[in-house]
Amino acid sequence: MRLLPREQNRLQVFAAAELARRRRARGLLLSQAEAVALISDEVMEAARDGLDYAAVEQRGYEILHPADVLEDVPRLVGRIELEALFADGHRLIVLHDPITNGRPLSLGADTAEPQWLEDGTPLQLANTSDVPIALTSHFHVFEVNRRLKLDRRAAWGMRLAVAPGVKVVIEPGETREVRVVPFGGARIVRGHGGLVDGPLDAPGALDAAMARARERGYEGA
Amino acid sequence: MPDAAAVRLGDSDLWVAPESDDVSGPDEIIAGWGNTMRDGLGVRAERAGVDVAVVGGLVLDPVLGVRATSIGISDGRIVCLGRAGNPDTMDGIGVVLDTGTAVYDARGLVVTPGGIDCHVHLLSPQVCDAALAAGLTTLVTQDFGPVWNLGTNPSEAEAMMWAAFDAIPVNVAMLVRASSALPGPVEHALARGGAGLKIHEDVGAGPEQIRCALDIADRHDVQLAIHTDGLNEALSLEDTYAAFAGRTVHAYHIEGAGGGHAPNLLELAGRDRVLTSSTTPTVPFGAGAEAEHLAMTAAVHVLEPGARVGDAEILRHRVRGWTMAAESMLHDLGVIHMLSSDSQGMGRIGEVVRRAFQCADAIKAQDGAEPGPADNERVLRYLAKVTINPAITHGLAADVGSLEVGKLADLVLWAPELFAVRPELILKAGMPAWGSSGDGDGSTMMAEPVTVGPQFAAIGSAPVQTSLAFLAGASLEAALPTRRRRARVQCCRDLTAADMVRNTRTGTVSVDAAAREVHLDGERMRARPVERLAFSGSYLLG
Repeated sequence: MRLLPREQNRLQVFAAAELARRRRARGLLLSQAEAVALISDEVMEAARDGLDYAAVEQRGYEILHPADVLEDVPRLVGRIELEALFADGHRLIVLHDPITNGRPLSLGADTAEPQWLEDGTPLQLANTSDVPIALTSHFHVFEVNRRLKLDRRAAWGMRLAVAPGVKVVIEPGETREVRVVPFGGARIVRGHGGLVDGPLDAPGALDAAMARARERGYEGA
Repeated sequence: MPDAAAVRLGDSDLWVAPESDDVSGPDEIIAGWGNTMRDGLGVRAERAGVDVAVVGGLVLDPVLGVRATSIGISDGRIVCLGRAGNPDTMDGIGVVLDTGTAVYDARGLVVTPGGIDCHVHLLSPQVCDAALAAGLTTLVTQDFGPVWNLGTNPSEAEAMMWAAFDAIPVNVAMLVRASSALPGPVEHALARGGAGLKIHEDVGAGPEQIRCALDIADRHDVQLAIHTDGLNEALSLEDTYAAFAGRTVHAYHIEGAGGGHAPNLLELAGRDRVLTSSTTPTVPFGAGAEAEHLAMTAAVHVLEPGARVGDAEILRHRVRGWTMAAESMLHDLGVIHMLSSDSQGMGRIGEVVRRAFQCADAIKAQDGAEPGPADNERVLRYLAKVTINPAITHGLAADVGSLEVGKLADLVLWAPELFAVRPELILKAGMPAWGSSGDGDGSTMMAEPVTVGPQFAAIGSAPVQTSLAFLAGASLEAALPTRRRRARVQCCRDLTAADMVRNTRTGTVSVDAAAREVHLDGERMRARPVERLAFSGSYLLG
């Protein structure tokens, strides 16, 4: 057979799943490892049966229900990642809480308004470019993409007033009002758009950066 | 009811709640696309940060307590704890990240010090794999394979083991056999790679061996671990205690099924200068423990009950369910200080950490919760038994046993729901030594089957860089075939129960064989057999 490591791993999943199946057939409730193995094995076999990606993914949520497993197991089986061999090759399937959820997570709405931090001051941003521009929590707003039109002076030393990890996406042609808060710490900005590279509060820093911004064509500078 | 911020450990009823939070808030460090761990944002654009940071975890530490915090590591040592980030743009940063800092994302994970097993028989190298997979990073060892030694003498064996350890990412302190009425052989072995002493009744635990060993221990500032005279052949318990002459010892498997004065070894617990440990199979007390120990003792200790006169009789004296039932209570009260494995020699090394928390959960179920926050006190008390207390007892605490600044960055990251059973990652000196990972051909790191196995700090000569050789002062400069850094064993001799972190209770333990009862200061010690064992059947295939 000249089995590859991946195929040997497939057999490990099968062996554990088979143990789980036999235990289930004896009326036993499944443990964490048994549940993960059985779900993984069944999903891999659904792909082998020729189902498409969506059908295989959906199958992952239909194999075990809370009544099939030991009391704590639905909570212990959070995320399962596995790869199944489809007609177009291996594809990753990620199942989220597959014992309690009945179907895959949806991607969710695109236009949700972020939870703004308290004390944020409003700022208008207009995307004059033809690509979406995403802003994150700790980027120096003064130095965001030059095709974003905003009051650059008002954005000096400010970052987006959102929790870390939140992204605010401004579509081409769109204008959005966001909220910004001042940086903390020693207030030294390096990197970002390359307009500052030093202390924000040094004398003349803002004027020098504004001059640089104008020179480089930053909208609103 | 546990408070809102409390985290449940595994499938147990143990909850931990952070006593401080340096993680959450508007400047939280998050790795990944579009998140805060970027140059000039959450990461300082110039050096001056730490080499490695473990960011955003819930730290459980027997000394530091329960804290949501980040850990900074440089040159393999913990150098700071606090809020992680970029002090150029963020307030209150205690762990400076820079563009060179490697970050382990511990958000949502529990972080503990690497466990220490202070009773390891290395009857096979497979013991080390099981140890690492269970979150143990320091081993106090005896033996060098399937050989009847109960120490690591002779010096050829010590040299061979140091050569072998250079491929294994654990810190090691080897005990040498001190069952010797004369000091010469013991001194010789201690000076050639030893870190402490072991007396075992199977090779002699009489008064002369005890006195001789303690003289050597005092001379070299090392610990004596003792398995006492279970036959009461040369000594009864009080004679053994008298032979200690007020000098500190570490009494192994204090309940006695693992060996030692029958039936009353447990009476050594609670005495000021007897540091005590249990081994895994009797903790927490379970319905099958007594039956198992009859089989286990005979199998391990070369008995032929039924075929050889007296074997069944000594076996029955040694294996007592009623002292096992007392042992778990004495753990909960902090009278017994440590938990260890007795690996392949009557115990399971993969269960050291797990058994500690199983006992905590079982006694909570029996006796109820202690004052909060959450179960922090109880959880930390049991954590101390498998981390800092064995480190202190064996003179390793300057380097390992807690996450205090200055110590080697040996730590374990656990998903809380898999706590004590399946570790996410074991770091040795800040480097990944063992952990969970999936199919190597996968598009992600965690494609099933996810297994717990070696990481890069376990490969090639990496263990040399990340692991310590603990040595007695007498062998610190010895010519040994190890390239790892050496650390001196120290501060072993002046220890008392008061030095055992969170486990300091002393008292009089009395064992009444006629009534089959154990009392601590007059109070009956009896745990019910565990009804629902946490961290076990909800997870394990077998």
